[in-house]
Amino acid sequence: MKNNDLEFTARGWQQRYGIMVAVWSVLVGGSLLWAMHQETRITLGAATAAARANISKDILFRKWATSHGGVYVTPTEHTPPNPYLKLPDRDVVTTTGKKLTLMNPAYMLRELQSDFSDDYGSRSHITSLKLLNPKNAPDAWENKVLHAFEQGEKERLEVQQIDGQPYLRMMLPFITEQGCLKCHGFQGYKVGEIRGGLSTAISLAPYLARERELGVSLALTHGAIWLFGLAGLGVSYRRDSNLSAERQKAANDLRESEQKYHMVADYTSDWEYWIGVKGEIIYMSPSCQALTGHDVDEFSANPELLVTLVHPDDQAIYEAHRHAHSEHAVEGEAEFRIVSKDGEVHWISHRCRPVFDLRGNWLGIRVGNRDITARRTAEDKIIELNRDLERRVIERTEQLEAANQEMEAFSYSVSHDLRTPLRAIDGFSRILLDDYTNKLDDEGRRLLNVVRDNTSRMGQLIDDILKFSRTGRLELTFSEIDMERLAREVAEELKPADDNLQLEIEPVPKAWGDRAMMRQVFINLLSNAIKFCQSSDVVRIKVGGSIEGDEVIYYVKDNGAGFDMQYVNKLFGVFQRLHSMTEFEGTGIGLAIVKRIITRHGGRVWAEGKVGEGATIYFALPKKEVEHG
Amino acid sequence: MDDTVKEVEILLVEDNPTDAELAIRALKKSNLANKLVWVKDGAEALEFLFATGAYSERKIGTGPKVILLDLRLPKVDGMEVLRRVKNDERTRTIPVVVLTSSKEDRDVAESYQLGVNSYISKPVEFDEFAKTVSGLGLYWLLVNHPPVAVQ
Repeated sequence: MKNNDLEFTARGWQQRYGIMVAVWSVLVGGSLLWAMHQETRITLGAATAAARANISKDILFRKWATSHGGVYVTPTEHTPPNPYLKLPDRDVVTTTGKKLTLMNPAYMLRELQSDFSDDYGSRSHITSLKLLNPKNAPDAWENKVLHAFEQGEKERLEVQQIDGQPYLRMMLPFITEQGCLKCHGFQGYKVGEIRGGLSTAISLAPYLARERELGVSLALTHGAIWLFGLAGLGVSYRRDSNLSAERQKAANDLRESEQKYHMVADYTSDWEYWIGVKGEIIYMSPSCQALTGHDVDEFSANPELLVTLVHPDDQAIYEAHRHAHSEHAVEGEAEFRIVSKDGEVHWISHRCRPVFDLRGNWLGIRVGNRDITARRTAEDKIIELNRDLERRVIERTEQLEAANQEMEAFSYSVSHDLRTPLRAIDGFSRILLDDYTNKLDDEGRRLLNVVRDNTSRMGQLIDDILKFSRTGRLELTFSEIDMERLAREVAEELKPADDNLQLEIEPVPKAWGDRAMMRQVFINLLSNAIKFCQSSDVVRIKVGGSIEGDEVIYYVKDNGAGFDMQYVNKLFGVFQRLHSMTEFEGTGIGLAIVKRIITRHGGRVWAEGKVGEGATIYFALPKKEVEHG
Repeated sequence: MDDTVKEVEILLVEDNPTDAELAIRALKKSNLANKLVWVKDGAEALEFLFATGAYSERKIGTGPKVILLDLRLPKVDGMEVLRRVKNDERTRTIPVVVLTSSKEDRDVAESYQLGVNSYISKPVEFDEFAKTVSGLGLYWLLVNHPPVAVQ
């Protein structure tokens, strides 16, 4: 990964372009050096050719002179007779008396060379190791070369500084010919032997000047080419490094995106996968292992595992689901069991949806599987518990219904059958009193009347207990009740004939309950209040109420006989009386019925009182949460 | 018995002899018990009304002017008797007064559903009972005006 990075980094490009610049520089530099070298060679070649031509000219000239055996010239001061020429005909006089002296070839050449050297831009010199004329003596270099010629060397070229100027010196050996022997025969030379050398020195200055000129132009053109190349590389570098930055960014983006995708896909707790159009597994989250025991590779190698994993009993569900959703590329879900590698059974919530690319081509099915074993187990348990509960409720309800039916039958029986004997007792007592009145004394009549009073009381008790029983059995019909109005209506009905009743009814909150039952409550409470106030001079009864928390509390207060708080627990019991029959009549069922009605409404009752100062009976009903309906 | 000869005015259906005796005594005091037939169960009541069995010589459509019917009866109960009477063209117009110990709302409601003409709960006190029975006897026999067909 790191190596790949280098290809796209700025540093990578710098290195690469550094090398390219170096190679380019070496190439251009090399080319320049090569061209310069060639120029130097051309310069030397040209100089050499000039030198050779010079020497060849001298040799030809000498040859020509030798072929003529010299030339007679008029002796002048500049050209005196050659003192080193030992020939009898050296000096002659023409027939006209003109004096002539023989100029031998060497003399001619030397004169030519010394007199016109500057005209040719060259300095030529004829020399030998065995000199006739000491003026022709070789210098150190010529001496050395002459020796080399004697060893067989054919030609010598060398660049030397002469008088601070560069010169190309060339030297060729001078071969003895027949003509030479005329003058030099006495020295013992033979034809073909090396007798000396001809040297010439060509000034290199003009050649070097030309070479310099060419060099400058070469350097300029090379420089221009080099710069042009560098510019090209620079442009290319800029482009590449920009491109590289873009690529770098693209690569970073890709890596980030890849990372994101892995974070999202791989770190899921659900078992996620993507099946391609040919049924191949394109992606599967590593979480598959936790759920199935199989790793991603196993699934990739064998996509059929997705089917074989499904619990044998749920294969039909899975197949039906696959057929309906996966194959037709529509969304769907199913719940089924799978058997993991180690044989564990898991409940799976399976959801699949088709996936499409941006052009809308179907790319297969994306699946998310969630382990819902815990939920299913809990659900099963809840279902089981509910079933159990329902069964028990049914059982209890049946028991209750049976008890209720028994109770009803009992009440019915009481209602019908218990009254009949009472009527008989009362009726026949009355017949006795009517038909046998003169056979009975006062005590006998009194006793029969006691029988009749108790029968009557017994009848009342039966009526009361039936009424009490009925309040427990009747179904409640709930509605909103204007309690203030209800209390007023009841009070109006119960109002005793003697008008010493002061009734105060405060505005009270409305109640939610069974109207008929509530009416019974007020009947019982108000009639009680009136009853127990009979001994008072002025009867004062107050009805009030208020909302306290989630309850509506009502009370009925009187200034009657009151009661001792230590017996408050007995107050609401069936047939419980706190006063004797002679004080106040009644069976003691009224408050018991009130309590039963209020309890059936989900409320509660309590009382406060003091002997001789009156009693207050409270009852509280649950406040209705929703005010409508 | 010369019940078949006389025109029956009151049919008392009552299984309890003491209640029957008290009722008859009360009616007698008002002189209303002369044309009274007392049957002791529902089955006998139906035989009488539809002139079958022991009463096959009777002619249907000749009274009674009122039926005093208890509900708790042996064999066929009072409610069934009421249903049969009110479901039959020939007996439908005979006024039926349920006279029973029951004050059960259920019984009251059902009786009126079946077409009872009056529902009276027998008071426990004899004075009250006597007053009630003689009162209703007077009302149905003398005050009330029945349809002509019954006569």
